[in-house]
Amino acid sequence: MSITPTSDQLEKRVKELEARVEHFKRAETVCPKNEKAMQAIVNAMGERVKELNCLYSISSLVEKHDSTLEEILQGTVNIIPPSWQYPEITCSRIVLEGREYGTDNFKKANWKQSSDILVHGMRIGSLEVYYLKEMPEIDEGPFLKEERSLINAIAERLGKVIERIKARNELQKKNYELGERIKELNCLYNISSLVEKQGITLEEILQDTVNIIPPSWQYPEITCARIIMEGQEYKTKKFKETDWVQSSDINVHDETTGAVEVYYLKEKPEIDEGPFLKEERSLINAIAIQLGSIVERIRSERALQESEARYKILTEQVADGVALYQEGLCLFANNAFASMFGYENTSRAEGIKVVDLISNDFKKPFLKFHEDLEADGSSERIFQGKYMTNDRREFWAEAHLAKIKWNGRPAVLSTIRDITASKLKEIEIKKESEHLRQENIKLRSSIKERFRFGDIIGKSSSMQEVYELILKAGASDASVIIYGESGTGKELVAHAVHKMSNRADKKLVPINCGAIPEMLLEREFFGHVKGAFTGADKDAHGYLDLADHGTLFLDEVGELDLNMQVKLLRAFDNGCFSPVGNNRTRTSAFRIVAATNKKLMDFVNKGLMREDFFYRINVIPISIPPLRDRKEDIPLLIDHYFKKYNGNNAPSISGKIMEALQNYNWPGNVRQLQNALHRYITLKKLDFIGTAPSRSIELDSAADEEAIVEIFEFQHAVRKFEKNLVIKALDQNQWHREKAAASLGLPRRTFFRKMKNFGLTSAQTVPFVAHS
Amino acid sequence: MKVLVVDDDASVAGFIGSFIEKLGHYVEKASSGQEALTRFKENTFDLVLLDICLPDIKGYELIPQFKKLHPDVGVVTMTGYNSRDLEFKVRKHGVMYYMIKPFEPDSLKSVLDHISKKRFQHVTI
Repeated sequence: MSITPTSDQLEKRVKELEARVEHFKRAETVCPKNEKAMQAIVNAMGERVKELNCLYSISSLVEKHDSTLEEILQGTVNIIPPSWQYPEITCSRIVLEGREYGTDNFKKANWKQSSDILVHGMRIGSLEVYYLKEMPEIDEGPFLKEERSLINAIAERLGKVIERIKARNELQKKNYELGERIKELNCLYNISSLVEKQGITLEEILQDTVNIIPPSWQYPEITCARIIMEGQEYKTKKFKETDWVQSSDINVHDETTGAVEVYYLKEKPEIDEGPFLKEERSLINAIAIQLGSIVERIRSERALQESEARYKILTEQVADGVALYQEGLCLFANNAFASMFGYENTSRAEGIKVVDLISNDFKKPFLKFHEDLEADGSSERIFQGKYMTNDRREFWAEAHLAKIKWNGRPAVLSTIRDITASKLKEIEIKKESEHLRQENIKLRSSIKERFRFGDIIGKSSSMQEVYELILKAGASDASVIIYGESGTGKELVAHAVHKMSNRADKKLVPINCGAIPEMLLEREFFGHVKGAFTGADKDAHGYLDLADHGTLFLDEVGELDLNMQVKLLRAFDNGCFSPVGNNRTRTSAFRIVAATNKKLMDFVNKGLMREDFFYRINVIPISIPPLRDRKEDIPLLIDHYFKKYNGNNAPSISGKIMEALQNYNWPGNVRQLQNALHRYITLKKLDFIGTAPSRSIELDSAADEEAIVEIFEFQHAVRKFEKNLVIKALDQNQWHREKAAASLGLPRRTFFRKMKNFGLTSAQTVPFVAHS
Repeated sequence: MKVLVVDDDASVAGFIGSFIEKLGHYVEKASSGQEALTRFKENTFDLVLLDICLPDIKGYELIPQFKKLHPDVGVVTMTGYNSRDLEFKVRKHGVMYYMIKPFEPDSLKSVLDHISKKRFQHVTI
């Protein structure tokens, strides 16, 4: 039932009433008796109009949209008295949900009417109207029927209005909540979309997120925010810490690593939960959770990227070939693997049979190896063997095979390395070590005996030192310089060093630096090119070239002049030199072993040897003692040479002779001893000099050997001096005897006799024997 | 000085011999390895000019025999055709000059001068 009368309805009603008034007027005239009754009716009609007006006023209160329930109730209560018969003594009150809304003059009185206010059929309050006078005698005064129905109508109407307002409030609340929810979702969506940006860093995401927060809050202009992540802070522009704060922890993998904080920049209101409230609480939590998952995601992405990058580096950048096989087929290979086996790219290598990569000789062991790998528990094994490239070239390789699972099935991950060079080296080393082992056996026994080292004879402690040094020099590739007087066996030591070195199977090229004329030194060392092209049969290769990979033995190294030292130094340093007559550089990898009977340091001090040249050759010095300093070796040497020259038929040597040999100073060292012994064996005579002795010891008639030896020392020196003078004079005079005799101031006949004594005949020389 | 020229080509030996004689030295000639050894045993020489390619004994086999008889003898070898192997076989025995023919008078003169100088040095010591 509509309780809101429309103006049409009212008009219609008024018209009806007017019609009735007309009717009553006529009746009045017709029946004046009924006047009083008619008056009553008119009064009733007026009440009725009041009632309608009252209801209308209430309705219009409700129509005002922004009016609150309280305003409506207060308005309603104020409207009531004027609608009653005696407004001045009427007051009213609405009691609703414990609250009262009364007129200004409200006062409880006995004369009361009330009606319940029902909402959805439930009583939630009441509407009361009081008359402020004594209750009239007539019980049912003008209150009654009309006012009764009016109060009921108002109460009923209020019930509807409350229902409506409550519904409206509910709707507004819902709308508000929905708005908040949308804000929240927008905010979270914005954060999510940050992550989708390509190349964005975690730092940028956190900074952008913090900027998104204030606009999503109820009062953006007074809101600021901060995100703390692992000690790093991200803040909005106008950030300030205040007491009015909300915060939520950010958890990454269930561990608190940071927090989101939102501050209101105003004073905190007294009511604890101001405008912040529920929605914002849940939003900040949602942001914290989302940030936590973003951090997790970015970290795992980063970890994934890193592991991918690592994987790429590992597989693509390593020199080792990497391949994955399953059921005998190659599933994957890296570049190194592909190029190792001669495939253009990795995809070419994929799908090939693994066994096809193995050289025929190694197919069987490889398959056996694979079976063993599958059968036993070990996860990794190493296979060494010959492999074969796509173009059937064989090479040695070492493969590390590891059992793994690939797509749930067993597979083998293989890293493979070309070891051809080292394998060949290994084979060579094995051979060499076998060779060395045997050499060593010989050597050890000889060292143990301490009687000889190769061709060097001697058991003295000074010679033991020489042997040690030879071994050390053999183990190195550094330059060796051998010091020793003439005849001490420098060449033997040089040969021993060469034989003990890893150049033993290459050449030892000896050069007697003193024997070569200066003018020819350069071409003898560096070679000489006569033709237009090097290597022609008219070219001399020279010592350096011949010594390539071998040893260059520079005997009498002190004889090299400064000019030659410079040229050799250059060749020593980088192995490069140019043959005479050609500018094309040749190279030679030679080792230097030099020897001298001079004190080279004196040469340096005198400016005869360059200091740099000296230090270049003087790296490992080996000094051979003169024979006079190791006389205990003389019996050993005698024994050695007797056996060498005469087997076991050597004549015996008496104790005195042996003593003489041991007491002699041996200026010509071992070579002099060797020659003396050689002559003794062939001529049965013992002498200490060259082929034409003036005095010799006739062993059969040796009367006083001691005296002979003493005399010999002096006579030997005089004789040598004299003979050299004679030869020099003859040389200078083109062997003209008279002229030579005159140059020495000697009578002709004396000179001739001396020539004869020295075994010099006309135009004939004796060999020059020099013992320096 | 006394020089032995060993060459199976008599004209070469003659030419070299006369060059050395002009320098004031005594020269003997041999046309084979065997002949050279015989001469070397009979006499002592300061220098041997040795053709490597002799019909009987190779030059590089002769050098050690010469040196055994006379360790200080100077040796200059001569060859018309060279190879690395040949050169090493010769040089390992120690020669004063490894000469590739044709004959080099200046080089030979420097060899002779060198020997005299050495002898002089030894005498003056």
